[in-house]
Amino acid sequence: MIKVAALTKVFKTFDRREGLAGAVRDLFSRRYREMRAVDGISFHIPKGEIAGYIGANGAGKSTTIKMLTGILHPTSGSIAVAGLDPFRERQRYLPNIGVVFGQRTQLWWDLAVQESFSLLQRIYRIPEQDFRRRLQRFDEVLGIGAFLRTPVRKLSLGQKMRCELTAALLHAPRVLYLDEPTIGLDIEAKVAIREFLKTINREQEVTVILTTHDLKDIEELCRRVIIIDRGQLVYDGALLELRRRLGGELELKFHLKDAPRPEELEALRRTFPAARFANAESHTLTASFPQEALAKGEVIRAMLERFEVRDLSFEEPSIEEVVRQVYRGGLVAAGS
Amino acid sequence: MLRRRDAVIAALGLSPRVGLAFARNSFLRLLSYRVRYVVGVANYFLYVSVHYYLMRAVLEANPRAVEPLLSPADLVTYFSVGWAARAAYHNEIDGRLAEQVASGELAMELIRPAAYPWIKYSEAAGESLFRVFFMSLPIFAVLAAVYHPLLRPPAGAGHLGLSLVSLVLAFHIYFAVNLLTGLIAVATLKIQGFLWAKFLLVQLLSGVMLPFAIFPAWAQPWLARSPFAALGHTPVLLYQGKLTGMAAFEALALEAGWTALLLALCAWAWSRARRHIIIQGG
Amino acid sequence: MHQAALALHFFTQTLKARMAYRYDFLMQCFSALAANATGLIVVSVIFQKTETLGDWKKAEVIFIYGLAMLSQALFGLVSTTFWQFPNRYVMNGEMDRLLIRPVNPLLQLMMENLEFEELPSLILGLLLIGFSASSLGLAWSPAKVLILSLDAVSAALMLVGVFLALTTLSFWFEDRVAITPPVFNLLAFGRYPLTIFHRSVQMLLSTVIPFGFLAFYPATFFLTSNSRSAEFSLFAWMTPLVGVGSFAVGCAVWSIGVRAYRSTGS
Repeated sequence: MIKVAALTKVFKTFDRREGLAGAVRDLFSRRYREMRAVDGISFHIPKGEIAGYIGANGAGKSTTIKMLTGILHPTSGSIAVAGLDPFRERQRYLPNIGVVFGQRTQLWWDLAVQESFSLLQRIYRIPEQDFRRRLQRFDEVLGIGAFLRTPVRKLSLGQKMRCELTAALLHAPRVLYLDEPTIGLDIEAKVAIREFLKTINREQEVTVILTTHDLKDIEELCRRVIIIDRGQLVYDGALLELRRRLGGELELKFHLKDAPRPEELEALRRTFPAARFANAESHTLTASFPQEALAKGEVIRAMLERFEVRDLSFEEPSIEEVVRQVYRGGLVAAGS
Repeated sequence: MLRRRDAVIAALGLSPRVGLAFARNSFLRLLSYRVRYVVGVANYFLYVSVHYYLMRAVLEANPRAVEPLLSPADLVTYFSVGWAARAAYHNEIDGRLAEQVASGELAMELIRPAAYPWIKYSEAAGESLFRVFFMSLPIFAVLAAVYHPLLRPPAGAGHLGLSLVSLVLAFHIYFAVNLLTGLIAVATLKIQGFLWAKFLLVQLLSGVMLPFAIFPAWAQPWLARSPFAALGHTPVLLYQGKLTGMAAFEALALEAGWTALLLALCAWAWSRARRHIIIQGG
Repeated sequence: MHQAALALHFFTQTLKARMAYRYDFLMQCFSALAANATGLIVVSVIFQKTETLGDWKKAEVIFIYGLAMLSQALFGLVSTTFWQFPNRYVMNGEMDRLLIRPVNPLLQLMMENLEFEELPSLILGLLLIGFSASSLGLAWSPAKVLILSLDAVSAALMLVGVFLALTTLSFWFEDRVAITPPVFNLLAFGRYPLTIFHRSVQMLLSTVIPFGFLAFYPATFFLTSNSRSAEFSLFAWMTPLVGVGSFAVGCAVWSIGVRAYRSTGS
């Protein structure tokens, strides 16, 4: 559905010189600097997939999305979405996509939500029947019916985002671009929006590209992640695979009836040399080990045999931790 | 107890140091807009040309139509000095103020530890200082090069001196008028059209579009007594040596009076507007 | 066709929204009239001291002035676009919104920024033309009325082209107000008989910045009372061509400019 090859966007910026004398010199000659915001990125996203597009601030996420939506003209490289070039064939391309920018509204500020929607109905030439049906469906999932008559500028952030999503999907696009759709929202709204995206992806087979800083979004929605750093692609693949390759430690926490004796601990350490055992509080014992080194079940079975276990919890490496490692260059080390 | 001067400074939030910092910033900001700058210089040249040719056509039909301006040289000098002066004192405080009101930024200005009018004054002063060197002088040089024998030097050192005094006052009057019109934005949000009309009216009433002498006889004394005369008519005639002796001092005294009055009006209007903004919550 | 229907829809929506703020609307109308009045004051003041301006009589100058006002009033429907564009659409990145809807972005832009406050000036312009024509003893015919309307529309189109090209420059230069306002002031040249200006100014206003076609050249077609009008008959007939040509150039610059859009502000 989305094919991107060697996509590059170079911005020319000029460095301001400092101080008064510098400003006078800038008047006559400027020092330009090239900034490669997106640098030779290629990927392919099949129909119906939700792909998470992540990276630090300024990594080039938004610039990529803006090229995919036809807002920016790529410096070089090619994009084909549903077989169309977003910039050159914009008028034919746009009915195929829906866009939500979390930072900026796509609705008409002064108009009531309902009027914005009917304007969109005209723009996209949505048949009345489809329009009614979709609006009703979105109301069921997002509950937008309550504020249809309110002007957009008077909506809360969460209400606005629900409307933005509706607006982006009213014309039943095949591709949906979401640039930080959950930014600034409260937990309840975030959950509602994630649920909605899952539903819509399942029901309509919409292909979704999602950028976000909230990695919970990624965890909930995306099996596929693309990570970019300073304009370059550093990872493209399954989320699980990323987690596996980066390792990260699994942590098992046991609550025991009786505090373990030192010799019992020693025996455990001999049995599982790959794991570290810590006995910070008298009745808890934590075992940490790399995922690929040991099977969880093995450790748990051994523990149940030797102790009276009251409670057990485990923590997988958080996606935050994983991504942080990627930014630190962990993936390069892990991949080589 | 604070000394009186400190009390005034504290009350108004006036601080020369803060003022200087804002003036410097606005100077730097202007330098960075170089496209606007180059086009601005070219345009002032064109303004002078339109009005010069218009008046010259009048002069050809009626040689005494704009007495005391009697020759093409008088006309070129009149418009050149007038528009170069305007280039120096001009600022867009009114428009920027309206923008800040519309975007709600003005409320933010209130929490700065310096009085807003003082910040604006400092910015305008920085802007004008920039404009004297980088707009007025280049404009004057271009005009002198193109209209070479026609553009005359000042009538004398004393005349130039008085003209400059008048210009410094003109800066204050223009600043006050702009701040006052900008404050109207606090009451109504859409004032772009209003600002444009004011912009043209001020040009008309200051004499840079038409010399006062061409207006009907009954209107001339009123035009000369208005605060806008300081923005063109008075400094230019002083420069040309066509306003001398007692008349010159009277004109300057009148200008000084208007300056004081308008600045006082600004302080009053700001204190009212401020209350309005606080009540509205921005 | 679809785009035209949409434009009409936008048009009525905007009109409704504007009328809702009656106080603002009236104030804007008054401001626009006051701005035009300053120009009229200039003309009437000048003709108190003289009978002719260059080779042109008072009524002829007023005819030209009226036509300029008419053309500018039509341009005034969309002129706010060019004031708003650099700041609101380029610097703040609102252009994004226009680019993701399958409607011509330029059309959307103009429809979003429609203004109606110049319309009273349109009536004033017509009145000036009417008065000056009757004092010149000019005979009207349906053909002449048609040509006058065509000229006014062409001149407005010419202005759209010029200012579109200029405002598009803000895609490249990150200037806040860019160069639109100063050039807007140059329209002053276009309100008077071009022959009173220096040859170089006449050249400039007939070529690069074709403000000569705002009123003067098309007006010469009607001002047969003046012997000099005949000199410009070719220019008079060219007015629609200049309008369409200038508009085409503006659109071309625009479409190149959109490529350079950087979408900052987020």
